[in-house]
Amino acid sequence: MKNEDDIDKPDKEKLEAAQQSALEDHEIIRKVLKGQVNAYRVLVDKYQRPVYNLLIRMIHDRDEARELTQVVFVKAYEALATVSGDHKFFSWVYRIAVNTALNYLKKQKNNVGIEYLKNVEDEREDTYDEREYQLQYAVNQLKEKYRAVIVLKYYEQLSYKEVAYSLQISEQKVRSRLFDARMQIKEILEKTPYFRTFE
Amino acid sequence: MDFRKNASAQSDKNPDKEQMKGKSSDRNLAENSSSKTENDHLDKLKEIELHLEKTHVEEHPVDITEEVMQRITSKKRVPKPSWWDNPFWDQLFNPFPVRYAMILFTGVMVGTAFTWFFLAEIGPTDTSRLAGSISSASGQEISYAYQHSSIKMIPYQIGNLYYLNFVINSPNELHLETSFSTTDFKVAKAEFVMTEGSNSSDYNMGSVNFTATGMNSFQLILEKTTDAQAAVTVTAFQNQSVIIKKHLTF
Repeated sequence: MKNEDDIDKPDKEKLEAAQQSALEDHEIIRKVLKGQVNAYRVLVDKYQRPVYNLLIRMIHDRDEARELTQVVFVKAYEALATVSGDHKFFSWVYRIAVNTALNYLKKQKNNVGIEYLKNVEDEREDTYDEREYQLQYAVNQLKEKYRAVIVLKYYEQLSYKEVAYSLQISEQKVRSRLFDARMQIKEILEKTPYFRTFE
Repeated sequence: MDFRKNASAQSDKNPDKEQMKGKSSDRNLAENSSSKTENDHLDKLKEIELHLEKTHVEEHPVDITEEVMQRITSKKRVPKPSWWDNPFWDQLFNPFPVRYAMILFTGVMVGTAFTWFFLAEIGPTDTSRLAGSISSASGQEISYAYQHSSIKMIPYQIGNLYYLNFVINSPNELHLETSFSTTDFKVAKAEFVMTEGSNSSDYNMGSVNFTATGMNSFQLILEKTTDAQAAVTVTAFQNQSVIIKKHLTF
């Protein structure tokens, strides 16, 4: 079995490209901070799609995700001076997006499940098979903090380190939450026909 | 998954052991059933993990650049680090003495404000004389520093109240005496405001004394009871010797 660290380790080319991209981002940030506000457009263009898709996966509402994506980039702009040179702009913006989504979910706690089911029902014919739907349903039943690790680790395919940074918790905590999340998903799925199909 | 391997190994191993020991078949059945449940549990977890890893994640296109830029430009300001985010402030307040002095100053000011408030409310102070602003008595301050010892005192006045805030820092014991005529002043307050070290104080007719070692702040508030000019004398002693003596006129 492949070691977890090996899975997380990007290859040399990817790493170089990421480093180059991070340098370009910081150059743009420098320009924006000097007053060239329009330069920020490049960062929005570059990262709006992953941020928007992360928000859809977190909150399951495209219209709200679109609105929140704008909020995330405005927040990021306002706090641009605090972005550390040690971190990639993308990771930093992701962190803002995760926080924004978690705050939104806390506010919507009582009705998001229903909304999600409604959306999934609409889409399931085209996109989801039965088991996929059951799994997504189970993920959506998780508390926000558990759902966040599942979305970031499996859907966004972030490394443990990146998940930890996004959620502002330790890597150890990420692993522990992932384990708990999978246990909870199993418990939920056991009440559905999910495993009957599997057996 | 390692834990899965162990579980399987155990489940394979245990029935053989049981047979060798000639245990009852019921117990074997129970063991097998428990291993089966455990395997089933692990299989399910593994299945979930694999399914999550394989989950097809749909990518939705979006274009909100114009909206974001519009929101940003409507604010018409370039983000700047807030004054508090500036590392300058971290550095400024970082050295212990500076931090101590800032907290001390804040404490003294709050203490002063409260004292003034309560004296004005319930004390015998003639409040009609409190009209006016805080003023410092220029040229009356005491600033003494020698080797590792320092004494600072900046007097100021609010109405007929005279505030003498002493900040003392000395590894050796310092003794300060403030004397005045009881016909001119009466003591409104005399106490240590902040302390990090040892101290003591006492009050006699016409004088307030305190002794301090380490970092201490002592506040003396004198209420002037006469309109005429009056004098206060501050004397500092160390090792029985006078190190500073100052006459203040209020």
